[in-house]
Amino acid sequence: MTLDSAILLVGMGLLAALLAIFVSRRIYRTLPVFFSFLIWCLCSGLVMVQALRLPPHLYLRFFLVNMIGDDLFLLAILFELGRRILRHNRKTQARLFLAFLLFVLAAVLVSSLANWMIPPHTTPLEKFYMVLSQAFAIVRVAAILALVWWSSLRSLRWPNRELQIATGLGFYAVVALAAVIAHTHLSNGAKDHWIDQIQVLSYLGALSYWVLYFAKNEPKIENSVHKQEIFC
Amino acid sequence: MILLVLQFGAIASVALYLLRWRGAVRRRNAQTWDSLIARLRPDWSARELSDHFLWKEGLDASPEDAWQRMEGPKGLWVMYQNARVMLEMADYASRNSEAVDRVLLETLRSDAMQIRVCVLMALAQYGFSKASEGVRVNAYRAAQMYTGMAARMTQLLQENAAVIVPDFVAAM
Repeated sequence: MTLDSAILLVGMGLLAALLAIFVSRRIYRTLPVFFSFLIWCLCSGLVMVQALRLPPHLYLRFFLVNMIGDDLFLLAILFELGRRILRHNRKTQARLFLAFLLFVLAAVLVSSLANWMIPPHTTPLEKFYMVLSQAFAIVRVAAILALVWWSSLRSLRWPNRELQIATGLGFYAVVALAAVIAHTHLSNGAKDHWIDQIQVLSYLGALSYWVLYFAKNEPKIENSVHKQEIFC
Repeated sequence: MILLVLQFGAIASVALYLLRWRGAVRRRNAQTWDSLIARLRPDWSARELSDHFLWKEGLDASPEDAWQRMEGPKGLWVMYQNARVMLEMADYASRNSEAVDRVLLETLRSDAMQIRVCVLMALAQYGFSKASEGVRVNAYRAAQMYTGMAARMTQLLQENAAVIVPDFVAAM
């Protein structure tokens, strides 16, 4: 068994555990997009295990589809988190334009962090992969920063569950951005596979964190009880 | 190589910022009235400056007297920290009650910002020129705004969380 297939199997084990927790505790009702993301990850993981046997150029095609799906889900999850935060704070106005402005600002800042280069001697498909991974790395971190700024500017309180999900996503997004920047600087470019493995390990780290958090009974928020005593 | 180090430094800063933000959110989630009131600094009170402190804006002292009674930078720093805690109390009230007067909330936010700017200016001036005329005037302005903010905070608590008022008065 190679390291890649071992990582995939561990990832699927963690995903299965997380899905079981979500179903048994009925968390899927409150976080349907995140739950769908977990199902997507499990299904795409099963496909990727089979795709490992394919030649590299074919494997990369599968990987690209997987990556696009992951990132679209990630944006949808952040949107879901924003909606949940609004509901938790009993606010009706989302102020989407403010969120969009903050996202643009964050994207400009994050993209200026990196000297985006495509290493020489790469095939067109590898170039496409690198451009896409760079763009997604920026969008991921910018979207998380925009959500953080948006909630801070509006003094919104985060529910614990949503905060843990954002923590895992933020950790993964920051490591992925570092991995993409490392790729652009190293002469071997996309062939520096160990960088991708570190990125996948950060994803496993986020999954483990969620499994540990959701496996425990979530503490009740004291404020909600306290406020009923005080504000009446 | 320098560029790579700079880029990783910037990413580390983003990670650190997100970590600090997470810590702040967790602290905010665990807030209660008791924890907020416990953070008010009782070692100096603006009662030294006004007989109507907490109920009415304004000082019963000249800038020179006020500077003496606030024990110089000590009183300024207490005002700086208490303004921040009162702002958190106002935010806490707004998060937990629909009935909070929005105009009053915005005024409290503005008060907190002005007090802190004024205190920082006074402290910076004090660092260069000790208790000069400019320092005393800035300290007086900060103290005046502080009495106004405290009176508005009492009003907010009376309207929305009356049981907390005695603890707030005792802590201030």
